Amino acid sequence: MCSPNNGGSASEEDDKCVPRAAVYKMIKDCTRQIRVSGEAKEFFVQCCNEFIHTLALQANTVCEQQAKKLIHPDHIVTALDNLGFNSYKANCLNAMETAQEEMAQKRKKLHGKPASIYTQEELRRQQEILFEQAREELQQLEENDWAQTQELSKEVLRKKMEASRTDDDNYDD
Amino acid sequence: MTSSNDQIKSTSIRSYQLPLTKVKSIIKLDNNTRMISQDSVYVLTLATEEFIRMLTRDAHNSMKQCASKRLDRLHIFSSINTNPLYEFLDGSFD
Repeated sequence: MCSPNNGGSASEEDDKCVPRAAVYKMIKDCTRQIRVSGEAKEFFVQCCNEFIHTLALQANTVCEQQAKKLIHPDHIVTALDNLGFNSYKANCLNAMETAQEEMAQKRKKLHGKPASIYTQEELRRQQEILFEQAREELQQLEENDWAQTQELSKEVLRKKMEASRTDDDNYDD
Repeated sequence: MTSSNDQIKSTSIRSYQLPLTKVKSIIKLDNNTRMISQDSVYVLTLATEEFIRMLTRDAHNSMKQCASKRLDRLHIFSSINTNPLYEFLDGSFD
């Protein structure tokens, strides 16, 4: 469990708590001019952590019961129901919808690909044609290479034979 | 639902105030928890924020009933003891 920061140094336990400042800001938003004791603030943070653990555990159970391997937002919502926090559902779902709409709009702007006039199938076909062309070109190059090498070898052999014939002639003489 | 961490973070409507990464690391503390999608962390964070608001409201009411001028731990305790929803908090603290 999280304990108050002693000695000013960041303890490892602090890392496992929700940030106090964020929690306190939310409390202030709700209570405005009410003073909150330091102990109360700390207690809010602890309750927060406990809530996260409890909800996550419940969601995990829901997920298990559905034989899924990944916890899905639906599991969280069901968990909220199971724990009795159905009133939270509406708020969560609304916020999620708004966020999703925002993301969709942003995605359109950022990844504004000009709509291709070709379908995926057409693009794939074109790609295949290009690959085929490349393959043919490569093959041609290799054949040319091979032909060249052969020519060279013949030339070398011919010269050798000529050289040896000359020697023979000399010998005969 | 496909989304990336960055996309959620970059939504201009700051509909969440608690950092998602912190919340995720708290969830991960429990070794038995299976993998959780980023969207789920987001929803969980929203729920937690709602929880803070509700607990604050309840504690505030408790404070008003005591005619206190300052919101104290006791007021939160009192809310926990009266509201059955907070039963899971019972016994977690000294």
